[in-house]
Formats: sequence, structure tokens, C-alpha cells
Amino acid sequence: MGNTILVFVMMRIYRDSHRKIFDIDRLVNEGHEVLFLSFCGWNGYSATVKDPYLIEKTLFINNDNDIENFINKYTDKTVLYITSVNYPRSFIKHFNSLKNHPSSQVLGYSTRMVPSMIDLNIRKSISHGITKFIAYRPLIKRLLSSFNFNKVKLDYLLAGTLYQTPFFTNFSNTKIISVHTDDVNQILSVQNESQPIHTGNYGVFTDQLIPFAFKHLYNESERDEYYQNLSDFLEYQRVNMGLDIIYFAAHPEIEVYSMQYDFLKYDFNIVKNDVVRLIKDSTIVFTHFSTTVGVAVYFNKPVHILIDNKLKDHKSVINRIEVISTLLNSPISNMDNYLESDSKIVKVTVNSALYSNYKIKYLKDNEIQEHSYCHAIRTILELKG
Amino acid sequence: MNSVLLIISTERHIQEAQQFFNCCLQVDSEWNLDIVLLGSLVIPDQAKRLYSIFNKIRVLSLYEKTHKYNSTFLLKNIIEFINFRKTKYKILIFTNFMSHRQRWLINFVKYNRSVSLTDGSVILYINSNRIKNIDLVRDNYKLFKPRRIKHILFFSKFHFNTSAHDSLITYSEKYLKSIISPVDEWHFIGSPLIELKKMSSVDLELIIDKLIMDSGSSIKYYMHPRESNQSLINIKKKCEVIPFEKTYEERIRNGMRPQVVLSFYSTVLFELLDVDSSNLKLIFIDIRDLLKKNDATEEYYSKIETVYKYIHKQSEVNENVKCIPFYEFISCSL
Repeated sequence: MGNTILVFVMMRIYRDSHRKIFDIDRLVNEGHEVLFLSFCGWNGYSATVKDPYLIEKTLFINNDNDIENFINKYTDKTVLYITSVNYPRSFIKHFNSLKNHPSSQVLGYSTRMVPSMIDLNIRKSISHGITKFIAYRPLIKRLLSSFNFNKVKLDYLLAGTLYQTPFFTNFSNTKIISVHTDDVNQILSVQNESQPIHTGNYGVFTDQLIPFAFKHLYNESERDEYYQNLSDFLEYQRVNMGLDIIYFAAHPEIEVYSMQYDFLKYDFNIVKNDVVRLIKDSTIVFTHFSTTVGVAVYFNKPVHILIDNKLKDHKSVINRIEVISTLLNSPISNMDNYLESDSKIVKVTVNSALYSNYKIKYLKDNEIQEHSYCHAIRTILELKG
Repeated sequence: MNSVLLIISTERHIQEAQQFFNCCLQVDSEWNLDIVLLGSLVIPDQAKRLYSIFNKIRVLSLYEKTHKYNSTFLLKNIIEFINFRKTKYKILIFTNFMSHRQRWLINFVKYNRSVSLTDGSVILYINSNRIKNIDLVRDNYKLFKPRRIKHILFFSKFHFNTSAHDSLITYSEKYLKSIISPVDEWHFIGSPLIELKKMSSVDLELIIDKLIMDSGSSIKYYMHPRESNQSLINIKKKCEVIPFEKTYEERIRNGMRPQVVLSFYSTVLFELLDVDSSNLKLIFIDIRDLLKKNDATEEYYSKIETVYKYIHKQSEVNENVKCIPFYEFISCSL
């Protein structure tokens, strides 16, 4: 596809699932040259990518020499860097080195949107108001763009929704391309599949590998306790809610942890890599604070939030849970003591108005039905002629 | 510090709020609780005892000695309520969207989410009005109206479809399993219909006479807290009348099992739908025909109509539930 090479810059997380997230196969089929630069190791994070196809397309950057080698190798090409806007501060220096390339542009993306405490705050409404005001006043925008906000200068920003556009980009000359969040990409890919996974009433638990993600909270024996309580809770709620089955939608990284932990010793009905299709036809979704809440909202499924005594004391977790619960009016149950409680939830319904508000703010605010990254890349390349 | 404001008026509300905290909201010692008690059915200490999990509890008892809404009380309450107004509540829990007192209190507080508990079967009428976008309390005022409550989360044992701006968590309670054999008794749950002038004491006597004649069992009449002894003088001569001390569900929780429980549209019977006992029969006496005869107001009739429609639906799916119109009840064999 011409002289442009698409370079995906991975800074903290680099997983096999990124092949699907960015729809690499489609980009390659369309004739694009695709490359991954992994800074994860240099930034102190671990890349868990195992897919040989991705590894073949990856340059692992660990020092300044690696950057220089990369630039020298592709001097004759135009580079479109594609990177998340949630980068570590140390990355700014690295990225500025990458920009030494004679012909490069940057597409930042902010497409995994989870509401935060600030969304419950009046300040968010004020900043959103200012953002909208500036967006339609090019002179003010140009003036503000002359200030350096100590951020990577983006030429384009792929935003999930306009509401969640990062504040700083509104003070720059960045062109904003708003399509939808990553969850919607997955939704679009299964939306037309009419074959349900299960025909009766069923629930879905979306796993987050909590005892592994919060290693400091759960020692080895407490992992067992967590999964046993989860298993008991789900079975109890299956009966209470009259569900045929509750599926355990495995986290994309479950394969990595299956080697060190036996998930099969519990009665989970594990389904891998099919969370969106599972949620689409489900009756209810159980979760802690997974980003799959967005998928549940998209399909108007009630959300039942679970916590336990350990997560309850974790400030950032409880904040995220509280935000989801407030925005959707969802119940929060503590699976450590729910079974002993005098009461049990038998049905949860959806507040359609709150759900539709959530969709517009955090999932999709337009009618574009194309994969967001492909749409953004095509738009940029068309603009460049 | 997170705070909850709870506006309640009966012991059942306390229990239901407790159920909500148990299964839908994770409160702990970092949460504060403010309770506004309306009326005299709950004493402040009763409310405090139940919520020991909270860090700090403040109880404000309004209209303590009276059910009447007069200007002296209004002024006193506004002054006392000023302290509560300063707090921004995470959750506001109220019990009756159609109560003027509650709506005016809510009007002055800041909150993130609002939750409505079940103030008896009136929740069905409240919901049907929400669906039709009718707000009878606001419509009652011309100039200064209490503000709208945009979203309500109903927490109830009832099953119903809500408006697009509301949602419902239906819960169920764990009662004792039916290991206890029922005693040979029929229980009638009273309602303050005579006090509300919706029914005459003669009509009530007809029901009790019919029960004594047809049941072949001992009849016990459980008084409603708002029923007066005066209106039950003749009933007391016919059967045992149990004054209100604790909720009927509390007695069921403690293992009491009659053969049949009857009432007009008492919340108690809806609560008992949960009891896991195949022997417990529930009979609702449909008083709509009686109300028509007694020229009940349109508002009251439509409120009752919503409730009886719900009961009829329940009787179609639950063979232990029966709904019998008043005149049919007193004329046919049970």
C-alpha cells in the first residue's frame, strides 16, 4: 500500500489479542506493511505475546541503538506510528527519538474507555463544556497548540467517543477521528452471527484473573479461596435467577496462567475468546469491573457487580466499581458473605436511559460501522493522498 | 466519607433497607448513615441498632407524636434538617415517591443515586405512574413544585416492568423451610380500611363470619398498626384479635405456619409469596366491587386496580394464591 509503513508502538501491554484488536490480518490483506515496536521491556513491563505471526512482525526495542537501527532501516519509507495515548512518562523521550525519522506521523488512540470517578464529578461536565467550546474555535485552538504540554505531539487521535477525548488533545492541532471503542469493534465482528451459544436463559461471568492481577492481595491459598467463593456464588445465583448455566468467559491471558494454576478444578463452564458472543444472547452479566461492562451495556444486559473482602479494601478497585454501579444503577454483591445473607437477588433489570447515556459517552456516538483502526488508517492515508 | 440518607417510616422499611445493604450495596465502617424517621411507628433506637456496621449514624425523628402535617412541625423539621442538607449522599433511599413529606425532604438534599424501597403494594401504582410520566405530587403544586427524580432504582419483592428511566432489583428472602407442620389456623391480616372510610365495619364482620362458618379452623385476626381498637369491637367478640407488636413476616420467620392467610391487598401477603412452603395458601379479597359501591375516589380506585391486576397475574402462575371478589367471597363456599 504505497510507501507507508504502519508501526504499532506497544509500551506497556503487548498480547496475542492485539492481532485481533487492530485487525492486523485485514490490514495485511489490504496490502499494508505492518510492524510492531515493543517498548514493554525497556519501560519495565512484560510483553506476553506468543503468537509467532506477531513475533515475526515485532522489533523489541531495549535501548537507543535499537531505535536508531529501526530508523536507519526504514529511512526511505513514510512511517505512521500508531500508539496509545496512555503511555508512561518515560516513554516521551523514547518517542521523541522515534520522531527523528525523516517522514513520520503519529496516530494516537484512546479507545479503551472506562468511566472513572471524575465522570461522577461536576468538573468533568465543565471540562467537557470547555472542550466543545474550543473544538469549534480554530483560532483559540491554534493559539493553545503553541504551548508544550509535555505530551507526545499527535497528528491524529483515534477517539472512542468525543466525550472521552483526552483533554490535552483539544489544546493541540491534532485531528480527531472519533469512531468507537475497542469493545464495539468486537461487537461489530459478531453482530450478524445469528447462532447463539446457548438457547435458554444463561449468565456470563467475565473473568479478570483477579488473584493474578492483584498478586499482592492474594497469596497462593487465597487464590483457591477466591475461585471457590466465586464458583459457589455463581452456582447460588444460577439457581436464584433461574438460569440454565453461567458461563465463565475466560480472560485473554488465561492460557498464560493455566500453566501455573489449575482452573479446571472448579465447576466453571469456561469459554475462551468468545466473550462478546456470550454476552450478546445472555440474560445477565456478572463482573468485577471488567471493560466488558461496555459490551453488556451495548447489548442492554443487566450487570451484577461482584466484589470480595480483599477487593473491597482496594481503593482504586472500589472507585471503579462505584462508578460503574452509579452510572448503571447496578447492584454490588460481596461474594464472601452473600450466601450467608438473609436475602438474595432474583432479577435485575436495565435502566434504558442510563444505558443509552453510557453508550454515547463511553462506547459509540456515531453511525460508522467499520473497524475503528482500519477506518482511521484509511482516512489518514486518503488525506495524505 | 461516603454517606447514605435513609427516609423511612415503618419497621418493615428498616428490614428492607437492611436487605438492600446486604445484597446490593457494600457499606462498611467508612460509611455514614443518616436516617429520617417519619411518623411514630419506629423509634430511633430501633433504627440505630440495625445499622451497627456504619461509622456514624444520625437519626432525625420527624412528626414523632403525630401523623398530621402542621406548620409548627414543618418549621421545626426544616431547622433540624439543615444539618442533613450539608452532606452529599452517595445513595438516597426513600420509601414512597408519592409521599409529599418525603418529596419535600428529598428536594433539599444532594445525592448521586436514588433507591426506592417497597412501601407496600403502592409501589405498583407508583411504577405505573412513572411509566405514564405522571408525577402526582408535582402536579399538586402550581408554583413551587418538588423537583423531579430522574432515575429510580426500585428494590422490591415485586416483579414489574419499569419506565425507561428506572430499573428494578427483585430480591427474595430466605424463610425457614417448610419443616414445620402448619397449625390448624386461618389468619386474617387487617388493613386500616375502616379508618380510611373505604369499608364499613359491617362488611368486615361479614368476612369474619364467613371465615368462621366455612374454614372449620380457628381464626386469628392480626391488626394493622394503623387500625384502631374501636373499629374492631365486634370482631373481637367473634375471634381472637392480635394487636400489632411485630411484623407478621417476623412471626413467619420464627416458624409460625397457619393453613391459610387472608387479606385485602396487604403487603404481608406479597411478602409471603416468598415463603418456601407448599402448604401455605394465600387468599386476597378483591374489594374493587365494594369500592365502586362506596363511591371511592378515582385516584384510590386506580391505585387499587393496579395492585389487583398484579395479584390476578400472580394467581395465574401460583396455585397457592387466590383472588376472590368481595361479594363472591361472602356468598360462595370457601
